[in-house]
Amino acid sequence: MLLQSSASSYLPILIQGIMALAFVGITMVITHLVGPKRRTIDKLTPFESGISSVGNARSPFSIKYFLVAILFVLFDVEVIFMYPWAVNFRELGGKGMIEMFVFMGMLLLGFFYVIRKGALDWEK
Amino acid sequence: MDIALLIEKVILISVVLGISLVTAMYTTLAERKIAGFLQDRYGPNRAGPFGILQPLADGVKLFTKEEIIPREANRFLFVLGPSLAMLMACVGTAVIPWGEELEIGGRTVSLQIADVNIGILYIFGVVALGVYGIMIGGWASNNKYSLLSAIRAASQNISYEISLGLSLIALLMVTGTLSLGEIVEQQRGFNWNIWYQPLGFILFLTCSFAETNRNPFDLVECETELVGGYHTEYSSMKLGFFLFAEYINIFVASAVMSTLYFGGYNFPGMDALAQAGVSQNWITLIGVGAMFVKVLLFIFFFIWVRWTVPRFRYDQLMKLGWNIMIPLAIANIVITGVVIWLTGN
Amino acid sequence: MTAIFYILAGIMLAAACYVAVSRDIARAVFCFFGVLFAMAGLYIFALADFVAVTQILVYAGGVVVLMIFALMLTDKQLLENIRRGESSGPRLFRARALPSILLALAVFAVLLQVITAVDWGNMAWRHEAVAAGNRITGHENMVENVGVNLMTRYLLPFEVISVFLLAALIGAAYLARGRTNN
Repeated sequence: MLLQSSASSYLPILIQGIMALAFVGITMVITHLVGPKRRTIDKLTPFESGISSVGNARSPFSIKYFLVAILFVLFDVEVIFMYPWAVNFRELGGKGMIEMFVFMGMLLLGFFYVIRKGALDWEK
Repeated sequence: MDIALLIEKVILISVVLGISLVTAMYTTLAERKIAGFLQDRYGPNRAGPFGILQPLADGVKLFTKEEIIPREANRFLFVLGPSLAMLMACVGTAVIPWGEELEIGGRTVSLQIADVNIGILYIFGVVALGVYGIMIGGWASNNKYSLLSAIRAASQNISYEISLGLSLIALLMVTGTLSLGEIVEQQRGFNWNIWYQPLGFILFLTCSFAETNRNPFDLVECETELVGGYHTEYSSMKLGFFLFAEYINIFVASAVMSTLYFGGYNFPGMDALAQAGVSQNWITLIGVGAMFVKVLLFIFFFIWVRWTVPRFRYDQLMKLGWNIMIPLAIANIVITGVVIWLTGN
Repeated sequence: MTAIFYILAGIMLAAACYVAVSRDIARAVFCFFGVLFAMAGLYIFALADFVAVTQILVYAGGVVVLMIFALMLTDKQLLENIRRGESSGPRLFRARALPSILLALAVFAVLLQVITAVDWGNMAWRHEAVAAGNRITGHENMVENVGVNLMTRYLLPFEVISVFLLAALIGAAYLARGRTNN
């Protein structure tokens, strides 16, 4: 049954993924084998513009980046919900359009709140 | 799926992968040549006539360089980073229709690897995953520059992904399907989507520059601030993979833009050719040619912009993404919706 | 095709077990990524390609980025402490892990009970759906299906989602403001 269904149209994608994976894996192994290996302590130290490295690289950074990621997830969900609507836009007509604009309006409200609060203000 | 079809698909996948790798290789050369031209110098011209063997020489060089994994790096993730970057770049081509059908020995061969119902969303998904290579590689390096670069890359990509998705929605309202095969079919001849979605295209173009980390959005590896960015600690083919993945991404982005907005393999006068009695195979081949001309023009545009426009500052970049692109994209959806509704389908 | 299903399910289970057991958070996040991917594959088997791609976009593309950011924001020393842990011995069978293992086993027992108790071929709603012609043949475009249903049958939940998202947005803005003031 699955042979005729839409699931089988994904098989070529799987094949391409496997082929790409094989290409990447083989190349990684070859480059590992081919190159010279002369390890010294200085060579394996993290690069820091020529001076010896200071402190730990894994230091905390601005919460702004984290906020951007949170906002992204929320908006991504919104965008995902809009896809099925956009595909059926002509069938759903004016009523569907108004329903979607209400949905979008809610999010825009939140979006403007976020901007007004200066949450995306990078100069601060 | 029968064996013949399977073999056909494997051949097609190999050809597409090969073409995308070769195009990426020669894009590196084209980049340096065009940069040379724009800056009134030669560019590479020693390896072979006009330097056409330069990409091969670069490849051999990268293979034979020493592979360095820094002491404090997370070894597993350090190797995973460039592998993922390359993998994601390689699978993006799967849903793009490169041409119409070919008749070979009584078999109809489709020049699209997989015509899935949700083609556009597949591309969107690959774009969304593209950032992981940079993010994982940059974090695993345990280097301050790499870490900054990884964070920047992630924030930048996810910020522009939203506008990318929103600009696609306006396009979908016009086409009414998510399948790339059908979208190209609808644009037959000269009935391209760019005529209906000019603003959407500009937004999409801007986002694809941001998603491929190209200038003016290349804050991820901006030399003046971050040395090499996420690939500061990388060497040998791992570095090569990162650089190479960027060029393959440019190739994929160009192909997607040609497909969505510029008619893919369609060219003006294809129906006239069919009526004049030219066989379908020839029209298909010309169509594939037209597709590649469009892709190459886009690649040229990517390079041209890189050597012409200066780089943004990070706060400007984020401001453009959130405060300008997203409202514009939403306005584009509203305008598209109202226009389609008023003109009565 | 069946083999692919079992491979995907196997990958998913193995990766999920690693996520649960591992003390290396970075690797655990990566394995979680693998779980999401395999699950997307299983959704495609269930003919729900839109759900599969949503899974990739929202979870693999968004939530995991959030997790990695959280990982990056965390102090490295803290991560080291978590990784080392206090007690020695096999990870899975420490005394502290006993309640969670018991709980997991209990949930599994309930699931197993349900799976074995239900007569899969003979459920009432299946007969009704077949009689009403309300079924998927495997060729429809599921996205259109989802769109029409969201806009008609499930309109109220759909609009409620937007209120939820609004609340989350306001919460996020508040969170960020609190930090910048410090």
